Amino acid sequence: MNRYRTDKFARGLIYTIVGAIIALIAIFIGYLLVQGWSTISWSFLTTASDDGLGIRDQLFNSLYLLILTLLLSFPIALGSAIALTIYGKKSRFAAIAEMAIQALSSLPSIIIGLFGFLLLVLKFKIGFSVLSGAIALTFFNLPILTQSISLAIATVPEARMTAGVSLGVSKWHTITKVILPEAMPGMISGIVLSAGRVFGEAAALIYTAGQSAPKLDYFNWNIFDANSFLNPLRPAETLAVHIWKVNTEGLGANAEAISKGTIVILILTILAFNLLARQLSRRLQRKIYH
Amino acid sequence: MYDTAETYLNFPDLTNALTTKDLTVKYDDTLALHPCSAVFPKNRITALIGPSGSGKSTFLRCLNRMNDEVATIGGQIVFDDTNINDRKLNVYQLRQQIGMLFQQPNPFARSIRFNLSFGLLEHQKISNQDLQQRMKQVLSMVDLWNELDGDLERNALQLSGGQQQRLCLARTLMSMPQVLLLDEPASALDPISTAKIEANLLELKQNYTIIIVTHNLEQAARISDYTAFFYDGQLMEFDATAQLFIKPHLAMTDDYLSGNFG
Repeated sequence: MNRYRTDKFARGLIYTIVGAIIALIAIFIGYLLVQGWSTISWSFLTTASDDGLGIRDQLFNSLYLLILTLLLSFPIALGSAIALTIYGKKSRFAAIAEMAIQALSSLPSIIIGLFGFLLLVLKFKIGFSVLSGAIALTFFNLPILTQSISLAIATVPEARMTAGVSLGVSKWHTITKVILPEAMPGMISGIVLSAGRVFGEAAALIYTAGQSAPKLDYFNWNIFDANSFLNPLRPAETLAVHIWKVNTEGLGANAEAISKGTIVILILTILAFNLLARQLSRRLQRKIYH
Repeated sequence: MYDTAETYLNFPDLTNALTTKDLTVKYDDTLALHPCSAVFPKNRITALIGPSGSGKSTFLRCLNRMNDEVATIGGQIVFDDTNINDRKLNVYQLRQQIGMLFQQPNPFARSIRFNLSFGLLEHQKISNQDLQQRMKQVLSMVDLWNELDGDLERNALQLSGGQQQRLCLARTLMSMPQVLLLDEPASALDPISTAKIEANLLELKQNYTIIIVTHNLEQAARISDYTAFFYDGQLMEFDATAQLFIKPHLAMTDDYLSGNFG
C-alpha cells in the first residue's frame, strides 16, 4: 500500500470512529428525549410533586443548590488557582496541592456524599438540607473548578506579569487588573461546564440534601420559615435525586413517566449550560481582543 | 580559558545616573555575578555585551530589582544618592523611575490606552486631559502617534511586532523615568523595526540614561557611547565604545569582538 492510500485509509477510519461516537450520543439523547417528551407539559414544570407528577420544587432545588455551590466553591477555587499558578508556581507546596486536587477529583461522589452525611448532617447536626448539600457539592466541585480556572490563568502569557511588575505595579494588581480579565473567557466556560456537572449530580446529595422535597412557598421570603423557598436548612431533593428515588421506589402508577420527563428536563438544562458556556466565552473573547 | 584576574575599567568623568558597588548575584550556591562596580554616565547609552551566560542580563535585571525573587543580590546600587538595593525601599516607586524593556514585546492584550495608562494610574492621580497629552507625547517620541492615526482604542496585539515593541517603550516612558534598562530589545525584530527602535533610542538619550544589553555588536557600535564587556559573571572591560571597538585593552575582549568565541 502506498503512503497516500495509507493516509486516506487512516483518515477514513478516524472519521468513521468520530461519526460512530456522534451517532451513539445522538441515539442516546434522542431516545431519552422521545421517551420523556410526552410527560413534559407546563403543569409538569409548575406543580409540586405532592400534588401529582410535577417537578417544580425539584427544579428549583437544583438551581438553588447550584447557585449556593458556586458561591461557596468559586472564591475558594479562584484563590487556589491563583496560589498554584502564580504565587506558588513550581513550589513543593503547589506540587503537593496539585496531587491532592487530582486525588479529590477522582474521589467517587458517593464517598463525598457519605462523608457529608457523617460530618455535616450528623456531626454538625445541620441535617438533610440545602446547606449540607451545597457544602458536599463544593467538595465535589472544587477540584475540577480549580483545575479549569488554573488552566484559564495559565493560558495568559507570563510576559503580562513581567510587564506589569516592571511598570512598578504590584503582583496582586497585575493579577486582578490584567491577568484575570484576560483569563475571564476561559474561567467562565470552566464555571459553566462545572455547573453542568453539579446540576446533574445525585450520589453526593442523596444523604446530604436529602430525598424529600417539602412543598415550597415561593412568596415566603423569610428564610427561617420551613416552607420558604430560600430556607437553606430545609431538605431539598434535586432533579437527579428525584430520578433516582422515583426509580428505586417505583411508587405510583406515574413513576415511570415522571422519571422519563425529569430526565428530559435535566438533559436539556445541562445542554443549555454547555451552549451558554460556549457563547459566553466566545463573546467575552471577542470583547477583550477587539 | 582566559585569565579573569585582569580587568580594564575606564569610567568617564561625567555626571553619573547610576552606579553599582560590589554588586553580586547568587542563585542558591552559585555566584552568577562576581562583585561588580560600574558607573553609568547620565544621558548616555551604555551597551552591555558579552557571550551568553556572561551575566550581563542578570546584572541589568538587578538594576530595577527584577531579580529579587529568584536570586540573592549583594552590594549596592546607588541611584539618586540612595542605595536602591535595600529591602525597605519601595520597589514599585523605583520601577517608575527605572523603566525596563524586554526581548519579546510584551504589551497587555488590551487597548493601547490601557497599555499606556495602567502603570501610571497605579501611582498617581492625573487629569484626563494631562493623561491624554502624555500619551500623545510618548507615542510621538517613538514615532507611533502618526502610525496609529491617534487611535488609542485599538488592541495592542493587533500591532506589528516592531510597533508593539515601540508601544512598550512608550509605556515605560509614561512615568518619565530617569533610566531605561533594555534587555535585547531588538533581537526579536526585523531590520527595519530594529532601525526604528535604534533611532528612537538615539533621540531619547538626550533626556534619558539608557543601558542596553545586546548580542548584536554592530548595534552596540552604532548606538552606544560606552560599552561594558562581561565574561563569566564578571565585568571585564569598560570603555568608550569607539575606543573599545577599535582598540580593546584585553585580549579576551579583542577575541570576542573578532568573533573568536561567543
